[in-house]
Amino acid sequence: MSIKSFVIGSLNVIGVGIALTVAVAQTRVYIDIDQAGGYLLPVALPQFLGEAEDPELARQLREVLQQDLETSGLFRIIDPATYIDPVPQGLDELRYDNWTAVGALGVIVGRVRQEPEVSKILVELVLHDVVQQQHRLVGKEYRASRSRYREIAHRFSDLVFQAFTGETGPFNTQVICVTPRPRGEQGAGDKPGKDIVLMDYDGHGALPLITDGALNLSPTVSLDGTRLAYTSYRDGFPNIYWRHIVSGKEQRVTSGAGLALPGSWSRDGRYLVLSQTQDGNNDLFLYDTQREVMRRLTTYWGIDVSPSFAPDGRRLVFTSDRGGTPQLYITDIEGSEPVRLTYAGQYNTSPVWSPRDDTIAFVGRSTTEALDIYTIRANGRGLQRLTDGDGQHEAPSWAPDGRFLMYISQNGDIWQRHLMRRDGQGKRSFPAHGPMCLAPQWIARLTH
Amino acid sequence: MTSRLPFLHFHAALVVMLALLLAAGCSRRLPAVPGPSADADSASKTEPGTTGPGVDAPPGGTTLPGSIEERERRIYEESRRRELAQQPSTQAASGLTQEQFLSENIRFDYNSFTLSGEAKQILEQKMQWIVEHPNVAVQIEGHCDERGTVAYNLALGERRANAVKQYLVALGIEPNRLTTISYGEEFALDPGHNEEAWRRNRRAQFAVLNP
Repeated sequence: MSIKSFVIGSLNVIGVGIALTVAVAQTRVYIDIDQAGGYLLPVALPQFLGEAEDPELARQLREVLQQDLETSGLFRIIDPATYIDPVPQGLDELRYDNWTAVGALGVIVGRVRQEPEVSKILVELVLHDVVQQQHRLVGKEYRASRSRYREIAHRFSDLVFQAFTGETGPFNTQVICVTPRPRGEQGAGDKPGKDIVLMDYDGHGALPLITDGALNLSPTVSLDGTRLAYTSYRDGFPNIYWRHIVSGKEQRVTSGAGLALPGSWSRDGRYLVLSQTQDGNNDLFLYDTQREVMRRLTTYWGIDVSPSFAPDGRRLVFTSDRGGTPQLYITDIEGSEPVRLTYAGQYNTSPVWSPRDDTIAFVGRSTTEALDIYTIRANGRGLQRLTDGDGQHEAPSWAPDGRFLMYISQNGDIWQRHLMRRDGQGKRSFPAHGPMCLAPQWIARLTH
Repeated sequence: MTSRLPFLHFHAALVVMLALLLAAGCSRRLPAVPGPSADADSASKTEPGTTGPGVDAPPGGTTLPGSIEERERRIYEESRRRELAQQPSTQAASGLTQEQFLSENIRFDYNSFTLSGEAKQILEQKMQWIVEHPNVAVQIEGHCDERGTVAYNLALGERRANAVKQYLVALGIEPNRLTTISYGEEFALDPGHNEEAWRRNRRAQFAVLNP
């Protein structure tokens, strides 16, 4: 006996509030993300019902769904040329045998309709479980302005992901990037600036955040998405500023001629851990944005840089050359004596602590002189190289739920974004779209 | 407190000492001044305008040979500067135009901010130019090659710029004539992705702020 659960989600332009009640017919996990290896779950994505009404929209929606699922490294979309039924019989009716025959475990069925209100659309999407002939695993109805079609597709991709893995999907997320200024806007002189931009995780919908022409670097957004800290050379020296993203209200954190770089925000968004050079000495500090007070955490005379908070909001991992070469160390907000974490290799930098557990991702120089993404546990065990030892891979950033890592790889003059699961499996490059992203930070969606 | 040795003996001793320092080929390290911070390079401590007794008489009494060495070096530099100031033309001095001063960069090994012997020679020449142009404010930029991560490269670039500044200050340039700034890997001279490009990009570069 089938249980029909039908949830209406309503998006409006001013945006928010979706009553997200997803009833999963059976909580059977088809994919264990940590064990999936190279397996790709086959999903069919046939033409939508009534596609002739709005073929462009249908095509765009299917394109985003396909890109999402394939970029995750866990799914593959079966070639439509092989489908026996090019169009399903109905949103809730499938000839399951015909889908089993083409090897599909899941089928996404959709219907699009123009709403009476101009530029509004109605999108219905249903995921069918072929194996158990449960028909509907999840079904949603979206009403929104046409321009929001990508977000609709991302939301549904998340539900497909969740239905098959039991985990929250990574598709309705965004990335903060540093990007070179476009040619022609680089300003006079030999020192072109860099901008800070926000875009969807797939590179679409790029929005400028800091585009004043100066060299702007090292952006970091708080967990709740309200605060952005970054370094700017706008007054001639690299200093830290932070701003409320929505209001744009900005405050200056450091002044002076020494290098200052933000590291990361505390989970409650009140504290910013950063590195600053005073009197030629580069150290970690904890800045209380509420009381506007700076507290020193390290005193070593050399380089202490790139601090990243643990999920417990107390411990910190950072890079220091106090041992002679750049290595990772662990300290805390009390400024406890740093404990060395990495012993292998001569160059270990750019640590980022997972948002979900004690795994730390970082960049290490391998014996092949390549730069690779590594992970290690905070107790020093489990060192693992994730990339291939043959190239330059940098700037790891955890997905908000900590199951994926985004990073950039050098390809000639271009830095290209990639993602992989936290065990290094399922590496995918993002389709080339949007500004080149240096220093990505992967965050939950901020804008709608 | 000044030495009472005759000038020639003094001069010879200095030449020997300088030769030893250059031959050692390592980055110049002044004896540590004991104090609350573990800063092993006391040159940076002398930056904020201290040139006198504060340096010569470290608290707690460090080894006397160390402090004598530093004092004598300063005297040498001061007398050298007076010599240069008396020379009528630039011919016997730096021999550099402003463009030459700006265009020759200080190179560094990978991941290092140590000044090589060649770097020090270039800096001695630049020092003379700076002395000859007392109204110019000089900025020292620290740069890295593209390898390695952005934040660490910014910190390394800062170390490079500071190492150059410290050496110039020790040669006698007033600290407030020199500013330092790091650009990390942001502004490569050579956009290539090979050893030659990387070598050119690992540099300290000079700029004048009020030409």
